[in-house]
Amino acid sequence: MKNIFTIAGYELIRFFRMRSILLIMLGLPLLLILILGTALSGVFQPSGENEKLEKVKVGVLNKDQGVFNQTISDFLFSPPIHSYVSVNLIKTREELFEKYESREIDYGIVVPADFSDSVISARLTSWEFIEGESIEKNLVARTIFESFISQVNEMQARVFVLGPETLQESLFTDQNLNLQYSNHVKIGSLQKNEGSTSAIQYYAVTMLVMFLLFSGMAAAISLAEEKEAFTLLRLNSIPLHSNTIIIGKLLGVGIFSLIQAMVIISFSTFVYGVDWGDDYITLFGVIILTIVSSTSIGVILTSLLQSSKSIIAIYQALIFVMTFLSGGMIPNLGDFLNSLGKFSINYWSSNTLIRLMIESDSTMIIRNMGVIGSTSLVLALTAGLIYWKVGYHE
Amino acid sequence: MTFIQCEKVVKRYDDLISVDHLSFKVDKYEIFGLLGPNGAGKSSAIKMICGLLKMDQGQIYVDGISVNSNPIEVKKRLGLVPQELAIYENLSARENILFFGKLYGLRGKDLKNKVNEALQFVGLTDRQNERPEKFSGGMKRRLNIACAIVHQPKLIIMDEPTVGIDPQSRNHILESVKKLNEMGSTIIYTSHYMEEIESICTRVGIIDSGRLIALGSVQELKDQNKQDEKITLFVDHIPSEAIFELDVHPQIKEVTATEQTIEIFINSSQTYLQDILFILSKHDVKIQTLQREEPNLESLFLSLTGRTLRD
Repeated sequence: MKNIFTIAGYELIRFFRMRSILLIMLGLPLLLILILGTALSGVFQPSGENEKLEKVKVGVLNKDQGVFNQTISDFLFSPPIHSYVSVNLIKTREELFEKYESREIDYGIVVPADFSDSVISARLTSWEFIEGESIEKNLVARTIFESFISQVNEMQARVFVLGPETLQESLFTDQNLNLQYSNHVKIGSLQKNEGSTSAIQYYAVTMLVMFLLFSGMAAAISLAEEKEAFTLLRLNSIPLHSNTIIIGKLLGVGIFSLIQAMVIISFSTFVYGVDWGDDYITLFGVIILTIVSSTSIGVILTSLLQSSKSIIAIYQALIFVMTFLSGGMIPNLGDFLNSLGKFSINYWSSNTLIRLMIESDSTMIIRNMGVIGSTSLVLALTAGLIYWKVGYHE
Repeated sequence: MTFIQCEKVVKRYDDLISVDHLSFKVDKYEIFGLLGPNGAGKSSAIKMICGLLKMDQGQIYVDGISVNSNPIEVKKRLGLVPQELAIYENLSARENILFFGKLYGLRGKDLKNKVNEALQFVGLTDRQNERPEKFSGGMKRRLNIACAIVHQPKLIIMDEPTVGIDPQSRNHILESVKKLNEMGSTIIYTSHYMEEIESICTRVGIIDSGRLIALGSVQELKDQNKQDEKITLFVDHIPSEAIFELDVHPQIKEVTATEQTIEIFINSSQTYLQDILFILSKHDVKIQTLQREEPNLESLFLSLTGRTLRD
């Protein structure tokens, strides 16, 4: 046991003596968090109350003069809706398209003349939506008006089941037909700390995970270099079990990785204002399991490949592919690439860390931890099996 | 008293036999030289003695302990100086020795004292806090030795420890080997430099193609080879008739002629030198210089294998 700690201790000393390694493993992630977090902050959703959506100018051509006419009008000018939408009532379809062409309006709606009658008589009807160029404004307008229509749908369902008398009763008792005029657009933040930038939060997580994987690569290089420098020959001539050598070396790398994680977390917390959440035990667990996975990959590659150069080439490619697919560089890559990313260690580790930050539902965190735990167990067992077959010798 | 016993050891790499039924014994406090050309199987034999390489057949005992069944106990008794520099470039000389000393189980004052002794022994006390990257080749070789002897092992195995260094450092290392032996260690020393083996070893095994082809003290081996004294003559010209006459002489073993040099391997040159001179004068060959070489391990190797050690 003493020998394991001796090997681990000297492994750490050697790591801390290599300035280039220190710079890459400790300095580079902090720099990348800052650069990516600052440069790509626009890619992310608004981060809090300070962010305002521009009002959507909506042209409404209401041809319906039935029982819903007043309800629609009340809805359009109700205060919650008015804070996001500025309504321009239009009389003809030509005028609507004219204003749309001249960009006086961002969005257009046509309410058909038989809308009220159709609803009352439980017939199929719909509003015509004319979308503009802005995806964001289209999303806001559609969300608001579809929320209104869904309430009308509910009412129509009642008419369909209970008969038109239901609606008549409502009309006599409630002018607004019990419709809720709350807006359905809410600006939220993934962060508790509304003052800090979400991009920084995001990249703090993805860079931490990526550089924990680089620690695994450092383990693989260290194991391979021990062979190349013939020090493994001497270590094997010493009365030690070969397991002692490899466990000692991996323990050294593991401790280095933990120090690396602590530096990244502490620095990003105090300097960049990143909030890593309050669940430090789970945070520690995710880091440990990620280290186990990355060092296991390192052992597998060292057992299968001869030179440190080929290990570096393959491991680097693996890290970059996994980081990219998991959204570690660009958040949204499309459905296909996002689904591929789910096969990476980065995805599950990053996802869990982000959920810890936003204090997400604990069942989701437990599920993610289960995936990370299983992955690291499978990788560790594979590494153990290959090591048992191939061994660690010069 | 036998300290190492190798019994019919065989090591194969696929179809290639690296060590072929190798058997020899090394007594306690001996410096045993293992001599052979590159690829003769010396390093494989060494690795098997150290328990680093599994043998396919045979047995090796060190201090009465089987390497096959108890390699850890054997490793406690030995210190290996590998042919390659097995040191950490980013640890200082002292840290390197401390690291390996700790792994040999040394602790506290004992560790400190033995590290100091090892540094002093190899003459690196003054530069103990420097990293090997700043050292010359010879100094690195000395550090390589210090890492192997820090725990003062009973058996020191040195696998070509003088490869690629200057003559001064080589002499220093050879003196160190003698000193270690005087301090009570049994030493196995491999080399393909016969001068080194001749100068330090008490007994020698000559190995070629994995087989032991000669074994004995340096003097015994030289005596075996007495008939093969070498006479080298530098002459003005070489008539083919003279070479023919020399070649058919019953006591001359081999004659080779190149340009103005004639090399003659002969049994007891003093007795038959007159015959050689007579033949050459008969053919009007004028001798410019004449050299007579005593038999050595190199010539023994040549006579046994037909090749030189550095082939």
